[in-house]
Parts: sequence; structure tokens; C-alpha cells
Amino acid sequence: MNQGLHIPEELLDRIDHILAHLAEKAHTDSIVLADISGQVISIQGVMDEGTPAVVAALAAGDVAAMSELSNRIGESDPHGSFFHEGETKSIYLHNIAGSFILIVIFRSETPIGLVRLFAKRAVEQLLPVTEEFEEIVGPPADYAPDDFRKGITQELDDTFTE
Amino acid sequence: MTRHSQGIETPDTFTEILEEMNQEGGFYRSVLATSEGLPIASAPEEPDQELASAMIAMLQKVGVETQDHLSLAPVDEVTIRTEEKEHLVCRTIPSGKDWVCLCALVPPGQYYRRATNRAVRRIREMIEE
Repeated sequence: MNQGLHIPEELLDRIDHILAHLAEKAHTDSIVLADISGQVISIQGVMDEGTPAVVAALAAGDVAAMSELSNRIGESDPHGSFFHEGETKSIYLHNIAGSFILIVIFRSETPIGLVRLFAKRAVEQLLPVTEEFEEIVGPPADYAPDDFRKGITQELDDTFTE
Repeated sequence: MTRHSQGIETPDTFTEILEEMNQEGGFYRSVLATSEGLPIASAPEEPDQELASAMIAMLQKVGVETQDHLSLAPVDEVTIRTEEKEHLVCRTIPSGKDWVCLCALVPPGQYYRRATNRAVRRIREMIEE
């Protein structure tokens, strides 16, 4: 799922373990961990093929917009979280240290507090792991390959022309 | 687990803890919420946003500010007693760098400490496990 990223297996296992625990505790539908550019790192739950990449790319756009919006209103730490409440499904996005995005999709009957509680716990656990990730793989700007950018542009084009 | 009308099972283990606490202590109702006032669970099960918001506001104003100003140890419980001797009891439970809040509406003459203690312990275990 991590498009072209070479991530050590042990690091991926730790990330998967944290996401699986979050999925179990908060009873989410699906979870995606992506880097800030929208490259998928890990997924929990079931999604149609291609969907995680599009979800991650759109979430990256959302997080970038929200960070800029926060900056414009004088918020000193724009690395927060926000959620969209839908009729049947809701989305919770958490910007992890400005480098990664935790995307949690859950049914609207699930109390938002439950998701927020365990997502924050997961983010606390993911922080050192993502720091390690950056040490090994480098910051997103350094490793996002051209074929990823082209690929995601194509995915988004396909999504919006459907 | 509770099966809702749509046939969907949602997590309610926290709800079960609250239900058992209400039964043990004879409480009217209770709610568990994040430090931002977002409901995690409530019993009876209908989300009680008003109670959650009220208790968080009370905890923030009375508990946390008092603790800061007087350099006291972390607040464990804040209680309000009405003229009719009902109690609104709020307990804070650490969760990583944050905290969650358990609140119960207690009828006059009911003891609440043992029942809330047991619930706090179980909630903490569930968060930490």
C-alpha cells in the first residue's frame, strides 16, 4: 500500500499494531496513516482498491487547507485535528507533528469522544515511530517520487470525472 | 455490545461500566466524556451532551483552575450538592497526557464514592489496556 516507499518491516509492524489497537478500541470502519503529501503508509479495515490513495490525497489537501486557515487566524500550532460529521459515516483527521496524517473513518453512531480518546492515545504512540520513520526515509518532500505525484493526479482525475 | 435498530453493533463497554455503576449506586444517569466535553459513553444510552458540557465546564473552572492557582495535587473529584440534596459528582481519570471525566447524577441520600471508585478503576484499565 505504501506506494514506492521502502519502509523497514519492523517499523511497519509497529505502526500496524498501533492502528489495529485503535481500530479495535474505537470500533472504527477504517484507518489510514499517510504522510503529509498524501502517500499511504498503512491501512486498517477494508477499502476498495484505489480508495485509500484518494482518501489520503484528499485528506492531505484538507489538512494543508486547515493548517493555512489556522495560520491565518493566528493559531501558533496548526497541527491539530478536525472531524467531519456525516449522516452515516464520519471522518476524523489528525495532523501528526506536521508530517503525517491519521485518517479515521467511523460510523456516525460511534460517539466522537470514543474515537477522539483512542485516536489521541494512538497519536501519542505514533509520534516516536513517525520520528523514526522520518530518520530512516527522510521528510516527505525528499522521497515523494514523481510517479507517485502523477499516479495520484490520475486517481483524483478519475475520481472527479466519474 | 448493543445492537441498534439498523442492526449495527456499536461499542458500549464503557456504557456497560456506567450502567453497572448506576445500578450499584442507584444513580439517575451518568456520562463519560473527553476533556473537551465530547461524549464517550452514557447511561441511559442516549448521548447526554448537556450533562457532558456542564460537567466539563465545572471541572475546568472549579477543579483545574483551583489546582493551578493553589498548587494542589491533581483534582480527583468535584461535587455539587443541590438544595434537594442531589449530587452532581465529577471524577477525573488520567489518559496519557490528557484526562477524561466521569460524571454521575446522584439522588438524595445515596452514597456514591464506592460505586464511582470501581467505575474509575475499570475505565482506567480499559483505556490503558
